[in-house]
Amino acid sequence: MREKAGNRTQARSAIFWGLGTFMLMQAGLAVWIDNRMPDLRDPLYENKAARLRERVVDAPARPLTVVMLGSSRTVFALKASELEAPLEQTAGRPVVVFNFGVTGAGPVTSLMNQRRLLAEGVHPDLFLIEVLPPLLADHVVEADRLPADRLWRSDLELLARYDVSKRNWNQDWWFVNAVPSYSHRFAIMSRVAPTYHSFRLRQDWFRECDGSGWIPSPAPMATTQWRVAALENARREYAGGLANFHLGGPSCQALREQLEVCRQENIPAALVLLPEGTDFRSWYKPADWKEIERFLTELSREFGAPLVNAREWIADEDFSDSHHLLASGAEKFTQRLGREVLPALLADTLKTRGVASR
Amino acid sequence: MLDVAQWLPDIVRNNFLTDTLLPWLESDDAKSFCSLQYLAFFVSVFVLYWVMPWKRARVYLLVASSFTFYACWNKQLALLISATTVLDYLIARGLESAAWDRWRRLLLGTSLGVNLGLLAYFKYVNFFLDSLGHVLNSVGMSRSLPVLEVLVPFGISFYTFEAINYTIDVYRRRVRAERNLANFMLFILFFPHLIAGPIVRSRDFLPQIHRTKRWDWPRLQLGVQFFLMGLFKKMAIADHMEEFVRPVFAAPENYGSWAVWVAVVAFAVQIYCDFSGYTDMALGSAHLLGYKLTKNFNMPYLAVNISEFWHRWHISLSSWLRDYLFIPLGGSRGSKWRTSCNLLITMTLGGLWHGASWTFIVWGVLHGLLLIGHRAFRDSCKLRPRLDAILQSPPGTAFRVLATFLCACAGWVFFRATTFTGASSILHRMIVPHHGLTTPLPNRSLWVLGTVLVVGHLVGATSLWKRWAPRLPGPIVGLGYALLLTLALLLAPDTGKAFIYFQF
Repeated sequence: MREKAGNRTQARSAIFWGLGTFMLMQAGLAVWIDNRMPDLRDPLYENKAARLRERVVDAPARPLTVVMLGSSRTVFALKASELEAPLEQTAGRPVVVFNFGVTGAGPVTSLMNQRRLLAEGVHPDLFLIEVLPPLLADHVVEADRLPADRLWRSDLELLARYDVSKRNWNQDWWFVNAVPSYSHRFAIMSRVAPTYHSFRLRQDWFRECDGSGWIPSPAPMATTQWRVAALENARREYAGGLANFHLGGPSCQALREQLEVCRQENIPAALVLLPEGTDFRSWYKPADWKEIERFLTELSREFGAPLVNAREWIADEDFSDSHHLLASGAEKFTQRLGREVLPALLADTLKTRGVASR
Repeated sequence: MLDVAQWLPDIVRNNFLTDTLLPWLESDDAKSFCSLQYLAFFVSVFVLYWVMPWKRARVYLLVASSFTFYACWNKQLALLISATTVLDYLIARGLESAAWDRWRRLLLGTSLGVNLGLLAYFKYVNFFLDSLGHVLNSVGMSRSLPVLEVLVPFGISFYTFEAINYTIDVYRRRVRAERNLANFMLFILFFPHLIAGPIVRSRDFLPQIHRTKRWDWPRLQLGVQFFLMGLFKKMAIADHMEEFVRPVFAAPENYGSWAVWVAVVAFAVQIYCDFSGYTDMALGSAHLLGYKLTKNFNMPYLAVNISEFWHRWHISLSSWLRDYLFIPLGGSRGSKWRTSCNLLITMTLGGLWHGASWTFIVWGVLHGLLLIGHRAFRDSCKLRPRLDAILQSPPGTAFRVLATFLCACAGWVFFRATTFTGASSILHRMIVPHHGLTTPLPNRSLWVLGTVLVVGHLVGATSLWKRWAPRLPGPIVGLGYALLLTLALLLAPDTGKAFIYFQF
């Protein structure tokens, strides 16, 4: 009987201690992620944001700062570090040009990232805002697809405004953060054992980005075999939607709101249409493209944000899939942007900050 | 005014049962023991079950929840299982009360006919039609045969065998027919074992229904332990092995021999951890409700020969095949030739049970031939004491374990490959060195998880855990459970992967 009582005591104690310890571990992990390791919550954002804060917010003298927001197109297109030296000569002070492209980001995610950066004290002198035209379709519902585990509490109100499915963001957020060892497992494993998961699941891509947020396209993307398959993937992903394109919806609103934020914060902005290859450009119907151009021109006029149309800047051989640039394409795009666009865009900013241009 | 309602989960604001739980259970994920849906379902049943003080009410609760568990996936098929269960109940009552042999044989035949007929229709009709079409084409009689759109009921292979073993046992007067319909329905429909076994014997399960269940902390702990172990095996090990297996088996011609070997060994680990993980969770769920299900695995990769392998792998199926197929065919009572034929027939049908595909049949035939070969070798060893002594020594035992494992791996190639071309490509690359792509992922995780599995097996084989565990303080054991669960969640894959044996 005594041994039975011992077994009962041990069993009861083990179960309650197990439950309690598990809950404590999860709560502790949630607090630790929030306070000490925010890159485990949204590594795609935080890895770049940390570098940017280090160079801008924590710098002894505040540099002239240009930040480009965008998607994976921006990730592979803008070799920002190459623009800094020439601009420093013109400005006569340190300049930071930062590639804040995030894979999978559309206008809503870029708006979210923009608000986060401003809240963290990153106040650029110029925002370059990528426009990804296929995402301006009314059927694109970006917010619905955003995983709750990547969000901060402060993001929820914004996403609730852009959410078409009317999901309960608060509930979803608390749900995923109740068990952070599960909801942030890929971020944690990408840190602790990066090769454990396949490339598709890893979230540490941007840990290797340079000081200006650029990461070259992986070498396999340059092979013919890869490019053929990638072009087919791009066709499957975009061509269908572009065949039934109707301008409007949350993405257009989010793009407008990005410009409104810039206006409220007194930050100059420019809209950038990134390079597209011949194949990709052929998927737009001419009438739809005219409508997109009209919309962007009106937006540009309304907010005083110049529209930079770089769609035809780069030859097809410098693309991996007709819309993401290879390293060679990134060089060409960056050089042309630095030569033809940025000095003009920064001219006003340089004047108001009391530095004469050459 | 503060809107508190927006903070409350839907389950509190709405009608929990109709607005949240039932719709949630209708997703395919709910069938998986690793899903949040199953957790919510199980916790609901667990709480209601133990809150009720009445034994009969608990039985009705389990029957209703098991029916709901299945019906949320497909109502019509849930009704079909229930109908065949009622039919088998009535047939068994008839078998017990009837004295006339012909009438009893007729009743048994009806039960077997209905159960096997439904199994044949749902699972094998398109396979038979397709095979018939190929045969007709090969003899020049090209015919376009129909392809029927048949939704295979989850778990049909398992509950059909349970129903058959019950009616045969009643016919042989080895067990009494269950008089209470609800009890019998619980035996067939009990949700922990409904989808993928273990195949439970009526004489093991039905008496448990009649016993009063009392809240028992050690049993609860055992259930939690089983469940956590199963969860870890499935989520942390089995699903990760899929990353090494899927790309190679999809296109073996692209991969080198090393990658192919790694994929085959990874599949051996995957299928073991997947199936035994599921079984552990089924056993754990049952223990938490006061029921004990049949053990289904006993460290099969430590078997020293293929016969022992089948005493350790999917024990409930192999014992069913032995008792209801091999022995009725004559077993090993006849000549060596007759015994070999019986083995081959049993294992071939065992392979067919797994799936409607020639690769499964070949897998069964291969194991049949291995069992025949083992018997012959065993008999020849009896005449060679020195060889026998060498094989019984520690190095000899290690060699036999390795040889058995490799034989099992060769069989797994056919089990996993979807075509003979793929299987032969894999086997060719295993035997003849080939250059090609390396493993889809770095091997380190495979070796780490493999080591964890081997250490776990060694601890289990030496019964160390059974000796140490009672001496450990409760908080330490609890900490172990928390770490195991955390680790399982941390290593979980991106999306819940279905259990391999769900397809059977």
